Amino acid sequence: MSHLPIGSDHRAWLHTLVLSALLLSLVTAACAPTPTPEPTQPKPKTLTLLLPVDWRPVVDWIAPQWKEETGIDLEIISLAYDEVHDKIVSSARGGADVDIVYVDTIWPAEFAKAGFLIPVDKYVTEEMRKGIAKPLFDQLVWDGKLWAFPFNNQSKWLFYNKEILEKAGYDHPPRTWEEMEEMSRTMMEKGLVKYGTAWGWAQAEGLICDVTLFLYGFGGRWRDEKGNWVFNDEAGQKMLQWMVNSIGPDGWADPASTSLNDRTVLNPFLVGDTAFVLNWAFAWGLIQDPKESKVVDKVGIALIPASEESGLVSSSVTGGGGWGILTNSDTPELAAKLLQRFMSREVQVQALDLQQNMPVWTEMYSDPEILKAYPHFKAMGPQFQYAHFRPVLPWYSEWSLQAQVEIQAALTGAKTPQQALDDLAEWSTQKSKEYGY
Amino acid sequence: MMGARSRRIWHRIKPQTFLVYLGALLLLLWTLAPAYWLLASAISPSHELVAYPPHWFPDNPTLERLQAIIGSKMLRASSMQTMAAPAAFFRRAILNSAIVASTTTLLCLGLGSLAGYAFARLRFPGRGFLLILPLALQMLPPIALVIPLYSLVQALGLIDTLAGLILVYPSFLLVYVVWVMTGYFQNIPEELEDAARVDGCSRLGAFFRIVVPLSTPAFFSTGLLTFLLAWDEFLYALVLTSARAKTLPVAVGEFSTQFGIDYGMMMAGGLLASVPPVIIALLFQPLLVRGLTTGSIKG
Amino acid sequence: MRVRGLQGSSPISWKGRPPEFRREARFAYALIMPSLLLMVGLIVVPFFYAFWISLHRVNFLFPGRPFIGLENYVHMTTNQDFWASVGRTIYFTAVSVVTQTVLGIAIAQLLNKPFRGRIIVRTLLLLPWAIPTVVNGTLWRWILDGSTGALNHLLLQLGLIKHNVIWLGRPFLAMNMVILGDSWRMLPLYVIMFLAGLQAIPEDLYDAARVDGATSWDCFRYVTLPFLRPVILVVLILRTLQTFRVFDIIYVMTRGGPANGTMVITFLTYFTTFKFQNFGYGAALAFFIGITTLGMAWVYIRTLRGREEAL
Repeated sequence: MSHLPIGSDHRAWLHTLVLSALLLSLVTAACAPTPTPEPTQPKPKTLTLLLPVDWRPVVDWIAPQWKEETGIDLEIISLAYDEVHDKIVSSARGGADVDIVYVDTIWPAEFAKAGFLIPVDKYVTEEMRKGIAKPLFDQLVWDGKLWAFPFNNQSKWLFYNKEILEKAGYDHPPRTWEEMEEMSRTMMEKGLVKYGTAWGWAQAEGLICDVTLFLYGFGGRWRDEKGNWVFNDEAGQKMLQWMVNSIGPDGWADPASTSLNDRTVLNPFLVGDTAFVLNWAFAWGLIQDPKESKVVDKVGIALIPASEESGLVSSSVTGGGGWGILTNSDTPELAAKLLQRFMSREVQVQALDLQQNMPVWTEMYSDPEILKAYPHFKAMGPQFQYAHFRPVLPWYSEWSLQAQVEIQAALTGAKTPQQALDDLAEWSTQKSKEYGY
Repeated sequence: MMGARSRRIWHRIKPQTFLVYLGALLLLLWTLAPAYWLLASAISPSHELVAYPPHWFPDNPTLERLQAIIGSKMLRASSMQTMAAPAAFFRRAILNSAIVASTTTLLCLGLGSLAGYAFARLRFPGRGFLLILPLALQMLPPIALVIPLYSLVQALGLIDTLAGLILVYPSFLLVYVVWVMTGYFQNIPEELEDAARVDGCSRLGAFFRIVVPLSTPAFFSTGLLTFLLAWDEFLYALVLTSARAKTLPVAVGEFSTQFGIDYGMMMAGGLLASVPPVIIALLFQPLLVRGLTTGSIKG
Repeated sequence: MRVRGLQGSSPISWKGRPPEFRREARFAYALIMPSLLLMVGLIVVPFFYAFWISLHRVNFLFPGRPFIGLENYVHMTTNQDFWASVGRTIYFTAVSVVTQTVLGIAIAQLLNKPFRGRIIVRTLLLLPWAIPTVVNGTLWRWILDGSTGALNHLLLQLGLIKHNVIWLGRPFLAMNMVILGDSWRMLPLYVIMFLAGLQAIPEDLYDAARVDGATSWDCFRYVTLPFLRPVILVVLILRTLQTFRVFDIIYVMTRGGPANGTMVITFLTYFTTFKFQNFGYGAALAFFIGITTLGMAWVYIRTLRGREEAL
């Protein structure tokens, strides 16, 4: 520190500047752990992927091989599932340096309409067209174009506790909702379970998945061929009334259902407090894990029932997704090459091993070797043909939230089922008119 | 004799005293029980977490989750893998949080004390206005600013960098520092500086040689508080980072997948995220209390 | 906060000032400049930019980015969802701040009484406040879990309930549970402020009152409260401002659910922007929040000023 009498303004400015520079250098030093590429060197080729953590292990597995084959690094941005949609939105709008994103089955219309994705039709090989069931492509199509490679074949199944059913004197899983209710009541009376089941009906996307499978299982549907919202018809009302009754005061399902999600509904099931649970493929891994579960090897998989009146065999909902390429990408060809690799049988086997992911290739469901390792496939395979889509809309996020709110209003008794459905139908119709979809 | 004496004491205990102790006990329970559950959940095996009757004290406490996080390794149990994947990135988040919070704190202390000195000692047009306006401005909630700030950080190429967060965080911390430091500097007798200036020190020289050393406690308590507030920040971190610069509050939420939440892992992550601020709070409690009560600007 | 010069002293002007004065002023600006630039760049500019966006239709469903004037604001003020979320925000803020203030004063009173182990209680008091908001929200979500949460298990074990209560499953109940979780973390802050206020009350005032035969309640009513009033006022306004912006704990605990029961205004803004990609309308909501906050901040500053003048 100088002892000279420096009162001059210049010196003051200087001091401030130096101090600021000092602090700024601190800032830059702090950035050191995030190395930015040297501007002098040619930028090394990397592909950046944005995905839910669910898929991280699979991509982690591919990355080193891909690097060895092509010399290209994969940069993986993995997020909680709930954050992925919002992050894709901000990345795509902000022009962020992201090439590939995971596209959930409910997003293609929105992302395509927003101009976030490029169509991938031309990258789909003949082999894929032949070997993968059409519905898997269909759920990623909007406006006649394919917006993502189908990667994840997902549907809901009915998991049931064979041991408890046997104790109650049943030798088969329920075929209709009415039968499931009756079984549950018997088991509750006999003190075998706390509740027949717990539903994942918290205000979240999972609720709409369940409503979709119930709606179709009661003979209803979201929209007719002309695109009119028709779910508030008689079938829809019966469906929602039945849902409400199941968790009501005289119900047979856990009344906590309105605060549970697809993971937490498994907790009571894994300790044998419930006998049935609707869930996705990942549940099987938990059920068979002795560290998590007390029901290892006691669980069977069945088709999800439908209502007696509808006369339907079963009804489920699709929940898969795929990989899309952002318009931001400088190297869409390269991204497509990686995604073709993702589609390979070898990667699908890995995804199955690591994540209980249901493969997209039809032949894998009859492959003796896979069936030997995953005997439950035999029971799971037939469900896909009964799986329905949720509404395909560019403004799906907004619609889904409103639907969650209205359905929950009915479930929590704030509205009658009819009122809730009518309100939702009216709102949907008005919005459809406004948005043109 | 002892018996008689204790009886005498017992008689002397007024009902009011009894109420005070009862109140203190209830307060302790209310304060500690949830915190204890955070700890217990982090070290309970999964099946004990959901068991009824509940295992208030885990039979087989396990450090597996904490090890998974600190060791950045994946749990190899088949189904735990998805849930454990973020554990590998949690350690990075701890480092990020530490860097962001401490750098922001230093930045705010540096810039804020300079401004505070000007407000405390110097006379200049617009002083009152310049002191009050930011006070109102920094009350604007992050949600009102986050979209434009996203564009700004994007334009600077700082999305998903620590620098981006460090740039943005002063928006809710700097004014607090300026105010507390202004108040503190005003209480330092000006004569001390005058003496130094007579000895040939410049104004700024006197600031650094006299005022700053005298203000060490204020720097320290303000710094602690700033650090804690930066450590706690969520919305900006959520929107402005995605992978490399992710901070702890965001990372804690990542132990959830498309299909649900792993509370055990979340509690383990939450426990680790809480350790530094809790240690600071308990160790430096008197300092923090002074910082909070003198600067009732930001909680 | 005692900063001299808040009171409306006559403004300092440039006219007829000696050069030393100009030098001092310039020096002062130099010191303030870095902070000021940061504030302008990080708050003022973004705030007005948000307003600018809000005058446009920025929605992925419609091409382009046309200027539409105040249409977003018209839509906002005629929208039922908007007013419902404003109502919820007011409820959340009012109930949080009032309960926390009342409890805060009570606990501060308690901790101001001498008793053995007081130092331990006072030290541990700060613990909840130190736990990050996000962790706190997650913790309470877990405690309140409808099927395997600790609260239900505890109440079942004590025989206080026969069936699980779904704490976060009903709109109104969930809102109050979020307030509970928020209170656990924020109460220490109130206690600290009130405790500081209580400690500033001269003990002989109480002695004098007791000599005059005052009961404990009289002491509280006629000595404690009047002395505490300025602190209470500051705390009330300040906490109202901070509680009004509640976001983190909602994001973690309920995400606005169930049945939109906790969809407060900040969360509606977040959803509109990032979920529905309606950036124009989202910016209008953000600007509304900003203006409201500034209004409240103005009240706060007026109060502070009044206090300064009184001192």
